[in-house]
Amino acid sequence: MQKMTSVITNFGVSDELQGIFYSLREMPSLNNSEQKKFKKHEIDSLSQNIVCRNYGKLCLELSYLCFAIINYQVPKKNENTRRFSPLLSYFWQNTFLSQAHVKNYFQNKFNNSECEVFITDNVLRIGLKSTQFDISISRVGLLAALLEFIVYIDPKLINEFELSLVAADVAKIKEITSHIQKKIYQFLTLHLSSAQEQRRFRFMASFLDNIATKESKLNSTSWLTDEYILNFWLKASDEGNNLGFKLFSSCFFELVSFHHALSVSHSKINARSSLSIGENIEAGEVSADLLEQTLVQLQQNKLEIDWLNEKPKFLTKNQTLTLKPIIECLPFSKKLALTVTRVHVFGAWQATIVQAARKKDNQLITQKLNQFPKNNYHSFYALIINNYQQVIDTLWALLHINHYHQQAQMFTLFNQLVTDKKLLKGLHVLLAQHVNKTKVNNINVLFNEMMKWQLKLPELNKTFKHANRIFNANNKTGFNVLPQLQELDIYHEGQDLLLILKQELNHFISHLEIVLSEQSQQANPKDENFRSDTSIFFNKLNSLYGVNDE
Amino acid sequence: MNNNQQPCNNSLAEQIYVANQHVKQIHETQSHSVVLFGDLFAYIFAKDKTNTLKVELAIKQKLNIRKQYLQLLEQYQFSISDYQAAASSEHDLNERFGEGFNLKFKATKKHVDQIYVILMIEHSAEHHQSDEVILHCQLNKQFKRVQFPNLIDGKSQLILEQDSKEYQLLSDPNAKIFLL
Repeated sequence: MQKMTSVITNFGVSDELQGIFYSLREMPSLNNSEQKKFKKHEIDSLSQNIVCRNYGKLCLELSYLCFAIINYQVPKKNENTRRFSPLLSYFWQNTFLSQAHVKNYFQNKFNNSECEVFITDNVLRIGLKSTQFDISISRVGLLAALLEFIVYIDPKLINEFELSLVAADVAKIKEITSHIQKKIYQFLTLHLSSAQEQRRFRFMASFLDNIATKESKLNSTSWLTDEYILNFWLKASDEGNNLGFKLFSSCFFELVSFHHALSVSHSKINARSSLSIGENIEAGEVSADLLEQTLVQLQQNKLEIDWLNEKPKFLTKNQTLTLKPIIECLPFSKKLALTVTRVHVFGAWQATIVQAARKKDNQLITQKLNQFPKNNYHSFYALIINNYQQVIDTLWALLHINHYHQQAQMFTLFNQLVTDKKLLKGLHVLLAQHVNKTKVNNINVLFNEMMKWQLKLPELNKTFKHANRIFNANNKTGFNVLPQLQELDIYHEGQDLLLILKQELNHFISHLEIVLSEQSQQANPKDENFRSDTSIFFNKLNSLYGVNDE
Repeated sequence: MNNNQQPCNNSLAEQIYVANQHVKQIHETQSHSVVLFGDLFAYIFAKDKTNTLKVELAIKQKLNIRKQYLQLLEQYQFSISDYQAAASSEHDLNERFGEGFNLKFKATKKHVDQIYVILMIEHSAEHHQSDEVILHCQLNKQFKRVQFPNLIDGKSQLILEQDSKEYQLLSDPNAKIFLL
């Protein structure tokens, strides 16, 4: 019986539920096929609500919104809308999801004996006999996504709403809300399972309990070290465990997630006095609201870098992949520099062995096992230095773009990229003089002045030429030709993120240098630590995947 | 089994960890196959430009999507041209009739493999004059959407290739045509 349940509950989020969110994210806008119907943050928010099972309030809001749409009857000039029922017309034929659209749709106050519907401040107010319900108009997009979600679960719901929400009272609206909630709940019991994740968490927690003392676990990051992660993998990777700890890289990512969860929940407990009355976390009560708040807090601190390899292509896919482990374990990636290196070098080795194991080719497995990684720790170091240089080069290209389009963002880049202190000082002096003289806050005037300064400060001229050269050498999408002025928003966003990456990589590299130099000081010959690590990994990988010739 | 006594302050941490793992799984997916109501609606009323293939595939492969598709067609059809019982099933039709509309097929003189299809609607709705006129054809498990320019004086026309799926379905007496 236990085996059966572990097979059924081996996924967390079903393929179908994952597919729903993917389709929601990708649904094209009606008016502009380049854009999407829903904003990214709306779908992110919905996914957080769903996984935290915190959708009660959302369902209530949706019910009221649909009530408002169905009952709002103002003589319409546009005949077209009569062709479709109110909900279909609002959410699918016309998609009035933006704040401007919502305000426009409900611009006239509507009231009859049963209810009133109008916009005040940025709120859609629905007044029924004894109650008043407000929906912030910025939430309409999120509610529309929720509607799309529940209509997927049960397509009959549109018709049910259209019928039962006409002239409904508060009790009816609440009844419909419960109905939607139940549908979502039933759907999630089949498509969202926590069993596997819980087992993983508890395994990591009991492993930690067995090793660390109580204080160090609760207080700081001190327990999560390179040694801890390696030890964890050596012990947890054995077969029959089936918790996903066989891969060294998985152990790294899972332990980091585990650590993040512990520290963010610990800070919530410490800040207990600021929470609402009734939350007794220490007794194990966790409201869906609190869970979602904490999840949002956790996610806010994460850097998302995947979009950097889309259009424009700030970094290649390989580069973002290489950076991923460093980004994942921020803010303590510097502490785990050795592990990140091991993930790159030995993780890749393990991946080739796993591939061979999948083909069930014994000869290939043995071959891959005995193919020690060609890259050592120093080659990873060189790779990261290269990635860092790519980030710098992209920033130079951005400097050129900002210079060409006379954007203020150029100055930030200038300060970050130029190392010539004399030049920086000279430029600051000229800027200060200019601001004093003109008292005009016009950036174009400033840039025109700067052309003259290029003659006064030949280093300034050289810098701009350097930026131009770097830009010209960049052939990636979005950088092969100069972008138009109106396209620059995303370049500015990319710049901000790249500047953060530059800083983090800088820290990481200096720590990696320390680790590698320590190793070469201790060991003789230089490479010994890498070689002893290799034999540790080999022994374990052999015991996990090795095939014995009987 | 082992260690049932988790300290209670792990409860929030555990739920956070689980929720975070779920969010990660949702973010990382690249699965294309789910067709939402919005996708289907946009396909039926020809408001999409990008999802057509995905929706057509789902209609073909998934029974529940097909059912939903047919239900919506029936709910929003303006008129219908059902199986043409009187015609001989050996020849392609020259003309087919629906309730309040008809379709004529005329070969072009210059290019034999191209056919003019002329749509006439007797009492058209307003949207037939302001928007494209949309037809959906169905024969067993084959479906095709055909769009005509908006009506002028009750008429609209299109040129189709003789070997195109659209022409084959429109002119097949056994096919069902939904006029939206």
